[in-house]
Amino acid sequence: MPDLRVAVDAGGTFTDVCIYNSSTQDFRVTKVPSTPNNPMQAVLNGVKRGEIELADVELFFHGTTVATNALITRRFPKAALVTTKGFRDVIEIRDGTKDNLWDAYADVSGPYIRRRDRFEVTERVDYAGHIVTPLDEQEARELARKLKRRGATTIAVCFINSYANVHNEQRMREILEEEIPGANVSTSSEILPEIFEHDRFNTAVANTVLGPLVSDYVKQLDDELSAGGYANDLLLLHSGGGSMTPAMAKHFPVRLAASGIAAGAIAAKHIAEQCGYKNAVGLDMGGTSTDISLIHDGELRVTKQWGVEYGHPIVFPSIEVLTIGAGGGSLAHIDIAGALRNGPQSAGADPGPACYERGGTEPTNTDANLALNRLGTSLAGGALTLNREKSIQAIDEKVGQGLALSTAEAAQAILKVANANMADAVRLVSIRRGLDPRDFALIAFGGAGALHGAEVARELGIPAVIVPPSPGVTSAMGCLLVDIQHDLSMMYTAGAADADIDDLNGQFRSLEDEAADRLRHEGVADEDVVLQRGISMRYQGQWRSLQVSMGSGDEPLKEAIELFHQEHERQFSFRQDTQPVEIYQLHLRAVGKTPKPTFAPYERAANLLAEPHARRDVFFDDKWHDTPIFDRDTLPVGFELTGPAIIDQLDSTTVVPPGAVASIDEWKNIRIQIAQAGEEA
Amino acid sequence: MGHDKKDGTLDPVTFEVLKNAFATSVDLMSEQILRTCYSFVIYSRDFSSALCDAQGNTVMQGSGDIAVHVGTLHFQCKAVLEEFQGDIQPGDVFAINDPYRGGTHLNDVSFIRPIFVDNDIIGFAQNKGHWADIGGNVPGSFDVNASTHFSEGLRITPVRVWRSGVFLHDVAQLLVSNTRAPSQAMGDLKAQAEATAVCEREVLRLVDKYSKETVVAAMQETQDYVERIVLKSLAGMPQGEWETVDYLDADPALGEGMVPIRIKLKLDGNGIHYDLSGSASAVSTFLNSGYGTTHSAIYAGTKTFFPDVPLNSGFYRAVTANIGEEGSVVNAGWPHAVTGFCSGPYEKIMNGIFELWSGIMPERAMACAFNLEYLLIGGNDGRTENTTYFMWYDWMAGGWGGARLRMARRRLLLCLAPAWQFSRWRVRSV
Repeated sequence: MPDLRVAVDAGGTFTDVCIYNSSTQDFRVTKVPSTPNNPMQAVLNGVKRGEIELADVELFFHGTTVATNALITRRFPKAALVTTKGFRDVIEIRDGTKDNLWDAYADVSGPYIRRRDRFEVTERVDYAGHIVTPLDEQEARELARKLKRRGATTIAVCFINSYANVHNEQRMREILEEEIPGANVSTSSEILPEIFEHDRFNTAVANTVLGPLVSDYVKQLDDELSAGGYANDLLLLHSGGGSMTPAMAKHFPVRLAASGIAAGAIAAKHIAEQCGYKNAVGLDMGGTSTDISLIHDGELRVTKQWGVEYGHPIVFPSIEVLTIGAGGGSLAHIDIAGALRNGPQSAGADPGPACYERGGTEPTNTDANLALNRLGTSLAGGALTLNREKSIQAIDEKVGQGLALSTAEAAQAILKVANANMADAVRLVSIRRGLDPRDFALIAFGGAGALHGAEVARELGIPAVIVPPSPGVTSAMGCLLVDIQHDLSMMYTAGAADADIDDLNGQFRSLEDEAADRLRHEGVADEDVVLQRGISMRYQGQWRSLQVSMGSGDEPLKEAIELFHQEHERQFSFRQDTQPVEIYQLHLRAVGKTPKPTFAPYERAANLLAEPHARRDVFFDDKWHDTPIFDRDTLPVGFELTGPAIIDQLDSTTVVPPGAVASIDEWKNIRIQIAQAGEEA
Repeated sequence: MGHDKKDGTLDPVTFEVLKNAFATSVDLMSEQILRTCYSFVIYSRDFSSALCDAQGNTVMQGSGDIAVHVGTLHFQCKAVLEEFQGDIQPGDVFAINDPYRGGTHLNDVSFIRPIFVDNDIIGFAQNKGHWADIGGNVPGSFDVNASTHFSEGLRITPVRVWRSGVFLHDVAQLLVSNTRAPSQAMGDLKAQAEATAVCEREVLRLVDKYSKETVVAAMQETQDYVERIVLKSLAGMPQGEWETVDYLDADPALGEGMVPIRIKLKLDGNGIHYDLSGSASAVSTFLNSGYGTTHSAIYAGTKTFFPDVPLNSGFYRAVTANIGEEGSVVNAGWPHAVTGFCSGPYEKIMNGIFELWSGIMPERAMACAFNLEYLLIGGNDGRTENTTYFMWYDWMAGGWGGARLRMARRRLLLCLAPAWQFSRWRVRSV
């Protein structure tokens, strides 16, 4: 009886492997270098390194950057777009905005399908779904033949207003399939049947260009795993926080585009739940950037405004993760007007921080942590030795002298700016009225999260920090924690007060039928299917809508309307009860439950003593403190200490500032209770 | 090093943290208005947000705000101060759109909320957004034939819409009832006023944490800092005077004819100085620019060469302009029509500034940008029973002017194009 659940999270540098044994509840992790030229190799290497017998594997989860990388590098098979006459440049014109409004030399990147590969045909559907001009079949057929001559293998059909009537798009697809056997053809109305052509076209285009590439990769990997004895379907993590099988990945490859980022957020949610928090901020800080996620009321925030690059929206629900340019390698400098700045420029892996001695002369956050002795000179169990003198030199030369500060003061200043920037980013995504930071926990992970977590939390007024057992591979664990999930939506505009509830239910049922079909196709048993209805509403006349869940009582729509008012008030601090409410879209989340690991709590140790393996002076709050350095592996469950303290482990270092109380909980998380400013003992 | 100093002196960390927090406070305001607005023009990002100091000077402007509002928000805030100084209470919110007091055009309505600490005003939160209609001769309020403000719509001089937190329904109703989309306008009025509360809340949080004196000092230092950046950036650049002229093709009321806009630029080591006093008299249609938008064009054009410098009144101190006597096409006073400024003098001034600076900073050189054109269709929708007005805008998107590398690449492509096309043609004809 196979009893292993395996998650392989392939990142840019490392591929992390989590192995969970459902019989013994044993959990272990391992790491292999990623192989960007042949991503599958790293997955197989990870399986080998983890000594996994594939025949023993019950479920195999995989997070991949294959789709993300293809979108960034624009390495696609020969693709084409077929659109309504007059709409060839929709994906090039976009919405006319730029991410850097003022820099005329910073262009928005080009569309996923170049102009020469975009073609128009005669057809027109109006806003209400009436066919104004039927598809010109002769023209369509000639175009199909032309595309065949040009060798197009993957084609997006994106017609104006197709969300209101799919007929012309479907007819075009039939013609293309007849003329180009074997081509991958998809229509915008099946990918995303929603209003606003730029969003819909671009989502369909991104999906189309990724199609062959992702299905090839997934199929190869699936075959390899099957050949090795894995009997189930490969489960691929998607950006919505669920997984899907190869059969569905083939149809919706673009949903894999945030696969890796979602994993960290899901792991943060799990840890928060484990520790009894319904509200939490995930702070996943690495070498060059930090991913911030938000859990509110037990749910990850989901957004439909997402894309791999600015200007190219991918309008599938995605877990909202804000990535900012603040990491261990972020550079601090004094600008021409004398202000101390931190990031977003990064020293990256090469030259890296000054202390790496690879030629870097500018101070990074890592250098500041080292200069303050928060970080030791020996990392990763001695595999990496850092030169503290180089850090001090860089800080003195580039920051200290300019501001007339001692090394320690300058290093502390660098970190304060970095931490405040991260706190600002958290505020921007999350802390709206109604979300009180005192109800939150901060989950600090990634290589550098635990170094900064306590001070970021203090900056935000968050009282608790949780550092999971293996901060460096926490993301991979997220892959083990997902269900199979599909998110469907449709346009439905009507006044909420006088909506025809029977019609509404009928529409929901048609979405449910489609979802059930998909799940059945993926081999999900009926009893494992959970369907959740959602509805987007707005005050009549507003442009944006808010999604709330459909009620479950006798009057589900009434409940939803009240939820909408509440949500509007929570997010924007006002509600308008006398304003008519309008329904905008219907949503369906279809979940196929997969078994989750259960982690048995560790027993409180009989002996709660632990000795520091070293002591050194560490700089906190303007002065040096004699600080004990602990090895995390030696800390028993139930152990408690009062900062200052440094807790070292193989893949991370946890900083416990003076006055903060750290303890090891029954899941072997480090929990830090933050003393707020003014409360220090 | 601590941030608990109450005397208003700033250490570098506190300054950097507060400067970034001010930016967050205005970006939060923008984020909220984008999600709650009713006007499709605001939805298309035609809005801006600013935090102003107690004198009305801009401390920080939103990073993604529309260019044509840049450098006008402090004028609007100062106009409110001039009218109501001494009579401003906590919980008040004021509206203004007056293009003759530094505004843009009548559609752009600002909401301004004082931020109080201990009975003192320490600043103002402002949100400006483009309402779909503001009355006048035509739906959407862009009347190309307008010669005076009366054809363009409702002129809102500074007016109180909330008094000590109490909504003045009668005033609000008067404002929105003069538009063709009163319920939308009411929605935007409330959404904009609520958005300014977001900024107020953030600034009060900062005061709580860092003290009133520190926050007020940081508001001033943020302006000084920007002024310093501009002045330092000029060091090493040539000093001297340059001039250029660009033209509106015509005064639509008079037919063909070039309407000159003359721009002189002087760099003397003490800042950037412009002189537009040689420009033509006001035209008889809506293609005039008030003093607010002329300054805005000057700041926006200059900012394009300093893309990383934050926008606030420090920038406006380092960049000065003599726009000449009132009555010209670049300093049109009441009652000249000005709604079309954005397709007229605004882009001519920007293009002229691009030309001047392209010579001084060839590494950022840029040719003329596209002409802003738009189609505005409006009227009655005959398909509905209770016939209501509709306004439908379409902006013709265009690009910035050609830049150095891109031009070079384009030329190369032009040379290659015939050969490439020929080869494709041959392949296909086989």
